[in-house]
Amino acid sequence: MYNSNDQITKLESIEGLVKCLIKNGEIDKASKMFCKSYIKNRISIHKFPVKLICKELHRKIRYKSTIYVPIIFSIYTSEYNDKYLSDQGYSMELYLEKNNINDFKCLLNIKRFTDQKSVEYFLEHVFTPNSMKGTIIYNNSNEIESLRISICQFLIENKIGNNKKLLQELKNRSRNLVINNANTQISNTKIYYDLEYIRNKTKREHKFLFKKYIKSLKNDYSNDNDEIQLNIYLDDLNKRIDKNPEFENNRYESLLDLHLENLFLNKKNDIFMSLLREVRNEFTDGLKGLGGYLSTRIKHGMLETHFRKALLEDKLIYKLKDGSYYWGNELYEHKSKVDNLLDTFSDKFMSIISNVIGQWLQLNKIDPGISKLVRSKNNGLFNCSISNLLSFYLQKQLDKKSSYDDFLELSLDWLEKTTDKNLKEIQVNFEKRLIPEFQDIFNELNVGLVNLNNNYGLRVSEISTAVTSSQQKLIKSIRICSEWFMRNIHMKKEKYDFDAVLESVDFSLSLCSEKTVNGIYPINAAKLTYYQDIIYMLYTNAIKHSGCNKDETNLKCKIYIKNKLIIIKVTNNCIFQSKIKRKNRKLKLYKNIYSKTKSIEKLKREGGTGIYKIQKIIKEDLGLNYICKLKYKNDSFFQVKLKIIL
Amino acid sequence: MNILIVDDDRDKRIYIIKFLKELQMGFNIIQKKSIINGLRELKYNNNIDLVILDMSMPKYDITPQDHDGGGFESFGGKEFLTQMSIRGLSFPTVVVTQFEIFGKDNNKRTLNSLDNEFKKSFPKFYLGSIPYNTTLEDWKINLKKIIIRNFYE
Repeated sequence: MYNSNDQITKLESIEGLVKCLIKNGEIDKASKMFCKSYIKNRISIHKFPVKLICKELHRKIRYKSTIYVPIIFSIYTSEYNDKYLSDQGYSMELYLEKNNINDFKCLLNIKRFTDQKSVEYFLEHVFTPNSMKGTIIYNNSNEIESLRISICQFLIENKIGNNKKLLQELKNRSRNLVINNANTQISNTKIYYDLEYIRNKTKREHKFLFKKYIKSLKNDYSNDNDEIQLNIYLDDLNKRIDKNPEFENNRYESLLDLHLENLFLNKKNDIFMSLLREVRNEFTDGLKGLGGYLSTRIKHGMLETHFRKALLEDKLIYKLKDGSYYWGNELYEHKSKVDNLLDTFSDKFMSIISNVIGQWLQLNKIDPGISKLVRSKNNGLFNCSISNLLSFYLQKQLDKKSSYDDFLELSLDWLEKTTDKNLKEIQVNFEKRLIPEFQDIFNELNVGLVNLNNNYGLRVSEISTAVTSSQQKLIKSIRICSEWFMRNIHMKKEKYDFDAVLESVDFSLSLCSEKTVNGIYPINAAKLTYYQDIIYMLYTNAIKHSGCNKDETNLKCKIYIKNKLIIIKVTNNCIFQSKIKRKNRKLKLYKNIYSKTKSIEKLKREGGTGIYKIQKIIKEDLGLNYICKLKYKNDSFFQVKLKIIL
Repeated sequence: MNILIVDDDRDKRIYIIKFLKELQMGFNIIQKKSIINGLRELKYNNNIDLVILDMSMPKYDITPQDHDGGGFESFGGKEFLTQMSIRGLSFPTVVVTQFEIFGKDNNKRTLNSLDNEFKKSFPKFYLGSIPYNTTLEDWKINLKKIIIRNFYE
């Protein structure tokens, strides 16, 4: 029967043989026979006792190391359910380990115990992320995705398996990997300043002041009171650092702490202080300085969205159309009480975020000498102020022969080291202050829920789970966000496209916009974040001004690349608009609103500044010309059209 | 006595370790933050006496390159126990979790029902489950009871 030419007879004989082998306890032979038959004819599966085979293999899994075991478990997973998914991964791990298979390519050379067709099936259908995640061989999902991409490429190149399906899989996985890389790249470039631009700008504008400083060195100031005092303090500090070399790392901090009050600076010291302030100001507030990028990439909605996202998944601060909370409605009998609790929680949550954006992430440039004269206290953790001793110390690192370039490099080195310290300070504050602040409001909410349960019999288990889950997610978000506060030294060399930009914005805002990209424009890693910033701000503006809830705002983004033009059209629905013609006339003002001098202040602010920031990015950061058109297409649709000229 | 804590929540790990140290029973504590790294520890370290396991956690450690650690799994603890069982890693295990309900929609499960399932499926090494809450002390009492009952009586 087994050798019969009639396929049905042959299949029946195999079916009988497999059943006999199982009964005789020869599960290995049964597995092999079933696998080979299934690979030849997939619809034959219903003839075989697959569940029984899996049950037997599950019992003896630790002693099995053939390729047929993971194949059978994967067949079960794809044909029935996930019951044996863990077995699928573990049996694959055993097969790879016990046969010393370190590289999937060498699988095709193993011909001793395995037939070619089974190996090919294994590579195409079993050696997938689904199985790989059940092993303890791999360290992260990126490693798994990259390996699967290599397998797909290998199979396509060698014309093994269903080429069309594999090509589609390869395309999807490569796409996801690029998007993942793009997201990492964007996260790593949130802290940014253009050092080259700052160098050139200050060189142009302040060289004359430096010449004045060099000229002043011809005079003798050694008997001036400030010179004597500053020298005494500096010597003292140097001695302390010599005794404790570990203080060297905190030299700038110590110099800042040691501001000498009421000290009248001589001409030389005064000019140097002014020079230093000019460079500092360009570094913090200049067109391509730290402050502008900090505002665009973190403070302008990004941080808030990131934190809120952690809570929205469990619908903790999710409001329904009528303005009430989701959980209030779920626990309807106690709606007003639950709504009140969530209102209080939500207010406190927002107040913590406002404090982070409005206080912690401010650039503090108030020098110690004048800090007492300034009424508003600056709690900014980016401390870029200058004390007279710090300025004096930096001055001493130069001599009469020093050039402006020497001065500039010295100042920038101080600013970069100070920024690194400030960034670490922010990370510490996120961990030690921000997380406990959030934990406190979660605890208050929990206590409130327990009280409602005790006093009114509220069913708290589901909402408590949502609270705990949100709390965990938020803490993870804070720690992820904390990693934004690092200076990116190594820039990737990869190229990205607009699909990656749009996907990454969708990811940041937790939305799913309708996306069309026609044409190809390779974006290098250094410029990726600029394009992400543009789309991010166009989207957040659309959501903010649509008058609809985020969930109800339909965003469409069409990008065309042709004839040395990038055309970006973002369209969104909005609440009913009257007097469109008049409104559109007003919107013409935004066509070319960017101007260097006016915009610098706007770049540092958040709220109502998105369109300025977009135009600044195109003009200054990308160095391109543009036409920007904002208009209501009709009474319920709004559109922004950016024409970027390459 | 060597205790392995498998939990992605740093604060919870810190609380548990603090409590275990307060017991002054000379525990040596090892920490892992994901399913895979926990399993690796069990595979290569035969000296584990007790596993304290979280129920919901990611597959891999969360890193700047892998922000979701291969995906957060509501039933990660269940997968961990299943893998322990099929790999023959029968180390006494107690589940300590902050959640009362796991999964979503039709896949929703309570801690009680999971506890019953684990008792049936992993009788060799599953010691029980403890609801964890930072504001309450019950979890400490229950964990201490389980340790004493299984290792000191």
